[in-house]
Order: sequence, then structure tokens, then C-alpha cells
Amino acid sequence: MLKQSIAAFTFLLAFANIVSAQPNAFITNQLDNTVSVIDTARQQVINTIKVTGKPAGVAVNPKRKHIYISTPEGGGFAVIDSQSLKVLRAVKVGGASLGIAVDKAGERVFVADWYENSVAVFNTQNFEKIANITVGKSPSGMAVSPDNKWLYVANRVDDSISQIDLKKLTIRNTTKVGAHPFGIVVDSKGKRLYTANVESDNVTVLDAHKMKRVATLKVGSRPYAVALAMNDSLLFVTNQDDNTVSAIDTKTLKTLAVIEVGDKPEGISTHPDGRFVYVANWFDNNVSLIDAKTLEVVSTINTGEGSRAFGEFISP
Amino acid sequence: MKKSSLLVSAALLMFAGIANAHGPVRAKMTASITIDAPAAKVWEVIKNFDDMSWHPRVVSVKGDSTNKKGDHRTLTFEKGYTVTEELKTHDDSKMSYKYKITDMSSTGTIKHAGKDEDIPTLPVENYASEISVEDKGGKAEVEWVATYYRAYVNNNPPAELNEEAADKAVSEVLTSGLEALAKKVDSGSNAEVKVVIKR
Repeated sequence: MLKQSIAAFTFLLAFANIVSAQPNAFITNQLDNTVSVIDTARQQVINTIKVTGKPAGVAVNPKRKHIYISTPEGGGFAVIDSQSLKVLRAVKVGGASLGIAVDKAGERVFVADWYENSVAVFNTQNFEKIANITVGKSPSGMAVSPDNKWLYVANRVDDSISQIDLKKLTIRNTTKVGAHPFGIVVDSKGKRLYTANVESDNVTVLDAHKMKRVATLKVGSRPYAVALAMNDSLLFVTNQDDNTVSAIDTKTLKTLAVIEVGDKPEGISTHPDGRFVYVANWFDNNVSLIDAKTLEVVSTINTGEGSRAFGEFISP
Repeated sequence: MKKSSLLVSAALLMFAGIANAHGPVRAKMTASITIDAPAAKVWEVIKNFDDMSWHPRVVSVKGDSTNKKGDHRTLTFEKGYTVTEELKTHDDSKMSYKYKITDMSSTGTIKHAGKDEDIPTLPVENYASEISVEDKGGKAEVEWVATYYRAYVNNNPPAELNEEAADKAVSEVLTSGLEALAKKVDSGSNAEVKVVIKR
């Protein structure tokens, strides 16, 4: 009995340490209404958090130690404490919230509303709405420039990207890209923007400041999202219908490898170390871990049903 | 038969309300049946990608017969409507294959939001599926999982192309197929198909 209690106590202690370990990957399991928390040091799920409303998008706010989870069915987002892994509150937005992003200062969170064709801006301290910016049709993926000047929004049905001035909270420019852009990413210097175009099976490379098209890269079937790794030298693209991830050299713009992952790969995010890339597989209910150095899958982690994880989902 | 239909309609009813509330969302439908026969025997009936003779709704099928990734098959349904599919993976040891729809004929056109919209043979978009057999204590559990979006990709779909129409059509194909498969392998079978839809 005593032995057992001691064992239990040791276990709890060990568990407490695990919980506080960073960085963690937050994987939304849309069909389960949960978020799996993966400890990226051990490649294990350490917690499963209940989040109702078909959780889809993820954004992390290191400054406030918040994780934001968009809930399309709940028309809003949930706020999770990145340390205690508890849901702090649910914020109501409107129609169908999907894309979600945080500014670089951690002061504002942006929520794209698929239905209302707008981006709502919330204060991350009191979660009051600051503004509502009308954008193109069915806004989805979003990204913030590293200098915190611009917010980029993919207007899926309009086949365009809008560049929003974060001081004025108005659109500065809108540029056509491939058909139905969904996930987007901007590099760490703020120079280039990459969009995954679902319907045209390609990636558009944009000059992130001038918003001019630099190149169009053919990828696999129905690309969903994009992530950069190895100091921006590699671009990874999830090809939903091929069960693969394309690895592209961002200098030569050539495809280096097509990596087999799970079925229906969707959300993709790179570990702060720049080397390991996490891919959420919607059909297989798991996450593939790619080593960007070897371009191979090194681990597969079981999560929950309908793993989507749309956005930047690893807390630094 | 009656019970399984009821289950399906209950599931459809549950999802109809939710589905209209947002843009297109991928659905995952899992249809399963337990047949009193060895799993290998059931797999033998369904394993060839170009053979759908076990499915009562499929009038004829024409396709490649290598059972390798990239094989195509064209299924012809009633009234000559067709669906063309491509094999994605085929695994004899796991008794499973995966495929996706690459083309469908149109069964008619409707006017919606000022545009002509085709109604495809199956009112779905981006359909992919896996059929597999597993041994469950001497019996065969067949699972047919379909993932798809509604046919109308923009907001506010017409009734012919909404989630309800998609779910109804897909569940009909899966349920009638599995029921017929059970009868083909075990003629006395009255096994029921269980259908679960999530989106």
C-alpha cells in the first residue's frame, strides 16, 4: 500500500514536470472536440483538453502564455493557459471562425470569419473586440510579418491575399494568387510569403512587401498548408489528397523530396529549433514528425479523431 | 435492414442542422458490418479494384486490373451515370484499399445564385474512401470509410448540393453495398450496417 502511494506520488511528480515542459504542440482534433498537447521533447501526448465547437485553428501567444483555438461551430475561439493547460475562457466572434493568428507583440489576436468575410481583432488582455475588417470571400489562413506591420489573409474563394496595415487596421493591397489559397506563411525576414492553393495544386511565392508574384510552384494534390524550416531554406507543403508533404528548396524553388506521411495531412508547423516539422493527419488521427535535415518521418504520434491543427501550433 | 436505415436517418437528422451553419466541412462517414464468415473469404470478394460486381447499385465496371496505385475504374450506375475512381493504395496483407473519385457524370443542372450548377452522380466534392476487412474472432468486420465535402463549395448551398444530400447519397451507396456483400458471402445473413457520420 505504502509502496503504491509512493509510486503514485512519484508518478504525479513526474507528470507535473512534464506539464511544464516546453515547447508543446497543440493539435486540434476536430471530430473529437479535443486538443492533444504533445511534449515535443518526448514526442508524447501529455494532455488532452476538451474544447467544444469543432476546434480547428491554433495560434500561440508566448507573451500572455495563451493558446488560442478557433471553434468554427461555436463561432469564436477558446483561450487556453499554455502552462496549466486549462481553458480560461471562450470568446464569441460570429459566423464561423477558422483562421487565427496573433500579432508579434502578443497584444492582439485576429480571427478570420469564413462566413462574414471579415477579420475580427481582439485585445488579448480583456478580449474586447477592437475592430472588424472586411476582407475577401471566405478568409482562411493568416500570417503576421516579423516587424509586426502587416497581417496577411488568404481569401479562399476570391483566390487572393490581402495585406492589412496593422496600425490603421485597413487593407493596403490585395493580390491574386492560385485557386483557393488556404494556409499561408511569411518568412522570418518578412520578404516572402508562400500560399498553399488547394484547387490549383500549387504554391504561390509572393514578395511580401510589394505583394507581387515571384513564382508558382507545382506541388501535390490539394495542398492545405505551408511551413518553413532550417532558417527559411526549406518550405514544407501538406498535400491532402496524396498523403504526402512536399519539401522545397526556397532558393532554387525546386522540390527536393516528396515525403509520405499519414492520410489527409493538413496543419503543419515547425518546432522553434527550426529542424523538426509536425504534420497533423486528419484521416489517420495522428501526427507525423519530419526531420528537415534528413527529409524523413522520424516519429508518428497518435492524437485524436480529425486532427487538423490549422495555424502555428507549437508554443515556444 | 429496417433498423440500419433508422440509424442512418437519425444520424442524418442530427447533422442536418449543424451542417448548414458553416461553409463546406469535410465529413467522415464510417459504415461497418460484421459478417459470419472468415475475413479472407470476404476480402477475396472485394479485393480486386476493377470488380464491383458485389455492389447492387453498380451496373458495370471497367478498369485497370493490376491492383496498384494509379489504377482507374469507371463505375456505371442506373441510367448510365458514371463515377471514375483512382486507386491510392492496395494492401493485401492488411486487407484494405484506398481510392478517390476523379470524375463524375452530371445527372442534371439547377439554377442557384444566378449560376448553372451541375448535380454530379454522387452529390459530393473531393471524395476519398477506404474499404477494409478485419478478422474479429473468426468473423469478418468490414469497414467502409468515406470522406467528402458537400458538392457546393461556396457558402449557402442549394438543397440538391448540401450536406444532407451528400450524406444521404453516400450512406445509401455504403449501406446497400455492405448489405449485399454480407448476403453474397453468407446467404442467410441479416447482419446490420452501422453508420456513423462525423464532421
